[in-house]
Amino acid sequence: MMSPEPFSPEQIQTLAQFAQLDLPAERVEALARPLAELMERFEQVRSVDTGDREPPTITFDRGELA
Amino acid sequence: MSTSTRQDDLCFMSISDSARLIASKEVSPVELTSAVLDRIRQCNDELLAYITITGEVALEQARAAETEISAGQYRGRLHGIPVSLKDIIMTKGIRTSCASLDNPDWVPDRDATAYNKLRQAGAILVGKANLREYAFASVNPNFPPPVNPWHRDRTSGGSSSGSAVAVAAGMGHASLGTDTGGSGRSPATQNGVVGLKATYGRVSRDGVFPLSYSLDHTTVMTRTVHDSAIVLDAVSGFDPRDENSAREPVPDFCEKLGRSIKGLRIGIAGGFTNKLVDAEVARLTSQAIRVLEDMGARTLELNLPYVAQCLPVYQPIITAEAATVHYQTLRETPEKLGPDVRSQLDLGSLVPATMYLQAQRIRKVMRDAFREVFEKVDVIVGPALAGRPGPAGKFTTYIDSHEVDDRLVNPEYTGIYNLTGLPALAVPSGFGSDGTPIGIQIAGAWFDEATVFQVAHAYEQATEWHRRRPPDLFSRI
Repeated sequence: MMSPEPFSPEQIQTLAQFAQLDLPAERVEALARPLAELMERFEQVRSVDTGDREPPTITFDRGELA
Repeated sequence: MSTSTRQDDLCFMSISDSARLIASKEVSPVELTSAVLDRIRQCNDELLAYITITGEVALEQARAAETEISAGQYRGRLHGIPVSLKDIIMTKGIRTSCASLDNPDWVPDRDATAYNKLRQAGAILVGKANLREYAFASVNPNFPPPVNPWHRDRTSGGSSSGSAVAVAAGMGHASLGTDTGGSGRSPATQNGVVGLKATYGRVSRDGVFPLSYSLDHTTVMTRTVHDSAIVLDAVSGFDPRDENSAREPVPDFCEKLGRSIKGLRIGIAGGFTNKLVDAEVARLTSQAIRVLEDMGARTLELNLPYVAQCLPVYQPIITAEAATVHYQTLRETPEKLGPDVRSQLDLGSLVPATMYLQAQRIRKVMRDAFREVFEKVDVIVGPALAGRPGPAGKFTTYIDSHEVDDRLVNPEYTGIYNLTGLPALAVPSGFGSDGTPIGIQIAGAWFDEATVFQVAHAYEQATEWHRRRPPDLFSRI
């Protein structure tokens, strides 16, 4: 995999706001490259045809629901 | 026989042999437990396998076992056997630190189900084993990592490294650990013991501090395959306290041990995107497959499905689920977390929901693809890990002369079986020229651990790797 362009501190701060995390500068800096790599890696599988099936969910025992 | 030799023999004895001697009253649970506790006291300052040594609890349990056995109330093969638990498994009244400064003195008010089952079987708790912080961090500055007893300058792996080191060094006959992407099988391999991750849902995770609920497994570490089957017999079964516990019947996991593997269909694991398997690992894996072929197994080269997708699918799931578990700490007291685990959790906090859900959908596709694989083969055999243990204190592996990040390489080898929930067992297959252990991995169809044990046991009995002991311990004792 080619090394992707790291996220900028501003981009990470914006994402962190959505996650309601107040990240100091050193934690923002530590995320720049790993986050870019994770995103890029996932692009390789985003288009895998899953037949639009629902993801696995917690299953409940029928007896308990009755 | 000298006292030290007797202690040595007792500490390294298999569960099956120890059980025979306990049942016939040639060895008492107190004698066996005392020998193991002495070994722990001798070795733990150097090997750091244990965070907490439960000496008083152990002797009390051992005396109770002895009384019961003397009265003719022998419970079975784990009665009087010294075991340990990864220090992320809850124990009533005993500190459960998770190797973190987040809540290092936590004393749970109840036992985890798996430990409860071990207690019911009569096992003796000798200690809580060291681990990587919350079973996640690669390097933990707060709790120094256990030392690999085969090579002190090499990593003991993780995250269940304390469990693996304890079993390898004769500091307990078995240990329960956890495995979310290889955290059980990986240190088992790197420390030369048997590591089993049973089918997802087979062993309860109740009372095990979670890392990633959809990937977490409670695992078993022992020195032999037979012992692994004995422990799995004890800890398996449906548990209403674990929402993903399986209602599948529990067979006798020892039933197929000793049966011929002639005619069994073995798929040789292939198709990995990372072609850089260490040359010594590749050589020993090929040798192991030849051993199986010589016993009459039929082999078939496989291109495992979706291995290239493992890392991209695995990473968003584990980081997002872990971040959810630790979200409150991450927001309110992040300074209590080690820098490495904090970085991983920060990363997981930023994983988009659409990415996480698509990753979970792909797991279903992977599962279906492996269902087809198991129509053609009975088990899959391949290297347990791509490389040999990297330097101590790091989360890396040596592939020939290259030092590679474990987290980028291992999902294809070990994480694939967490994503699919298939049972997989790591068993020693030799040693590298640097003296570090190497292992193969045998995976089976869902809930078919018995066939995995059958093949692993046949291989083990045809080789002698499980008889070796860490060399330094001989000179010290």
